[in-house]
Amino acid sequence: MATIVEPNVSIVGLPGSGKTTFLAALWHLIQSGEIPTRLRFASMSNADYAYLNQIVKLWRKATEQGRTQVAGMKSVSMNLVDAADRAIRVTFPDVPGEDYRTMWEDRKVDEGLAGNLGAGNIMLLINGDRIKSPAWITERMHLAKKVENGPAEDPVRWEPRLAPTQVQLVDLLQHLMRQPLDRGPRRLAVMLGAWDQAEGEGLSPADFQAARLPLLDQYLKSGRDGWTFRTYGLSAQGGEFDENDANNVEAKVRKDADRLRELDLLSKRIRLLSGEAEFHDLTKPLEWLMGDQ
Amino acid sequence: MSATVAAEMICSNPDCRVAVDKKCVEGLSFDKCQFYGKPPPDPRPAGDGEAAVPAAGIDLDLGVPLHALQASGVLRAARSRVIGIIGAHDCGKTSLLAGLYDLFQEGPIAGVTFAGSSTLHGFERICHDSRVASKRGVAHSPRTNRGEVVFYHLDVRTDGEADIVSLLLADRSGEEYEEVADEMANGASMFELRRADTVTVLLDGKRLCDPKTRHDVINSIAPIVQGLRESGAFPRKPQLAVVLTKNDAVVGSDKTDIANADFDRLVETLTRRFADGFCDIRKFVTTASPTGMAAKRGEGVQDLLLYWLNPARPEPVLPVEAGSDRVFAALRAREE
Repeated sequence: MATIVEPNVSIVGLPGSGKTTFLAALWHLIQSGEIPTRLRFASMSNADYAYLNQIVKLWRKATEQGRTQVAGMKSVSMNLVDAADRAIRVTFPDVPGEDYRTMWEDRKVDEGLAGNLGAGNIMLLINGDRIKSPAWITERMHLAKKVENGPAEDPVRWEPRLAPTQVQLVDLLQHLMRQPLDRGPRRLAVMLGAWDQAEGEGLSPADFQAARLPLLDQYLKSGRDGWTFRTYGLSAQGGEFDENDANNVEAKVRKDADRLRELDLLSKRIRLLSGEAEFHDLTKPLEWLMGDQ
Repeated sequence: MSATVAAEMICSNPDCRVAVDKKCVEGLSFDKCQFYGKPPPDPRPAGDGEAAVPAAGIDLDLGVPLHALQASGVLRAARSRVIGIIGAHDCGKTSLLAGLYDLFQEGPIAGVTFAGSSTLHGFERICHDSRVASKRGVAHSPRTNRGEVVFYHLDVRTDGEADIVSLLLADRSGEEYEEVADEMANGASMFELRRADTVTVLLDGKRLCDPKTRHDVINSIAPIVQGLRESGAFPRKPQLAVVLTKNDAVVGSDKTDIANADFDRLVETLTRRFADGFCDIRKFVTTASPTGMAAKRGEGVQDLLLYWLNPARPEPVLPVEAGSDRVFAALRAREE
């Protein structure tokens, strides 16, 4: 029997970055076999698929993942086969974004999470439609005087959560290259999610990273911490899903979700961009991340 | 001082150093100060104004400005430049530090790329009051409290250079530098100046345009530099950058020409009096954090950054008075 390779890839991202949606789309892609992929589904084995099946149902219905369903760290395993017929068991710790936010805000990392982060390469998910950029009072007031004079508000004291997205991400990646999380050189796939919303700016994923996340872009390109990185644009939904109505009586139903449900091959919802190339195969970046293991 | 008197010299204000300098940080007599004589609160991280919330898990580095010992660790680990920044209270020191960091938020600066920082929380804190998130109506900079000097840290890479350079930007309250003009001995212990590759003197452009404060601004700088030099604060013969800050206020004033002439005259004076104490003296004009649209954010800061990154001078070789001809007798402590 061939040796089973067990690489570890950690899916990392701040709250709302689309980690669970990515996993659901990947599980559908692998299990359905609707389109050829670099890594293929091998077997069910004895793994527990309840969590993956729960989230993939929502994905197939074009319904957003509910926040309550992702509380606590879930370890998700998939048995795959690569192009050389090597058996690969990929384990992803699916961690709520709040745990990563805690690393920035409280300067603490959960012991279980530290064990996972210390072991593997990194897939960093960023919601391209929710990037909080720094904005300055002087320029904003200048604009506001042209538009409207808003009411004066009480000043707000500084809190870490107010920091721009790119600062929080640089801090997170720096931690991964320092003790107690350091494990030497790593590969990093930067996945710019909600690409269907972000691509309106007409930029390639790499140019989008440089334009909208310049501090992160500089940090990675400087090479100080030795990341080997690639940047992808990702639409794991393909458009707007219906809001999850599990705990929300006012959940919005969206027209785009109907279009996505009507596709014959749901795997074609998935869009992944690398440079000029566009494909549906989410296993390509995974295969690259496993390349040094 | 007796043990009894020493025991009484305590203050619950964490910014007060009464036990060291015998002065109330608020400038009050001891019987009027509500904090004097009370024990200080539990220790907190440098730069952190909030009570620490105990949380489970493994500790990560705090991301706050570095104390001198931590800064020494950075100096040992990489090529570095130490920047001492001297100026009176409210001269724009914190705005300069925050403005430089905020320029990197928008991209590389004149071929210099951000490569990392171990003080991101510290930078974010001092940037906050000029950001929209603070909900203030006018940009503001927090005051540097009295206390030990701390260092903001930026790693950068310059186009065409192979190595990363660590910039350590010293932050100490303006009042402590001003006191050097009163008592020279205060300058001898200033680690950030002893180890500085560039000493940066700031002149408040806004106050230079105000007839009430103009002459005080012009005449307060030379005595500070004189006191520091005589106290041996610049053994490495560093560069001297003389910086006119808040240039948006100068440009928007009807005293622009006068302020610029004053500034030029001051630079000439400093050059004439102190040229032998510095390897180079140069002037800069900056608007780190404008309060209006008369000047662009960060104007002039890039020139100052490039100056700060000039190659460091080698450590000075001081004459050694060896007590014997044995080799170890000639060893001396390394200055870090």
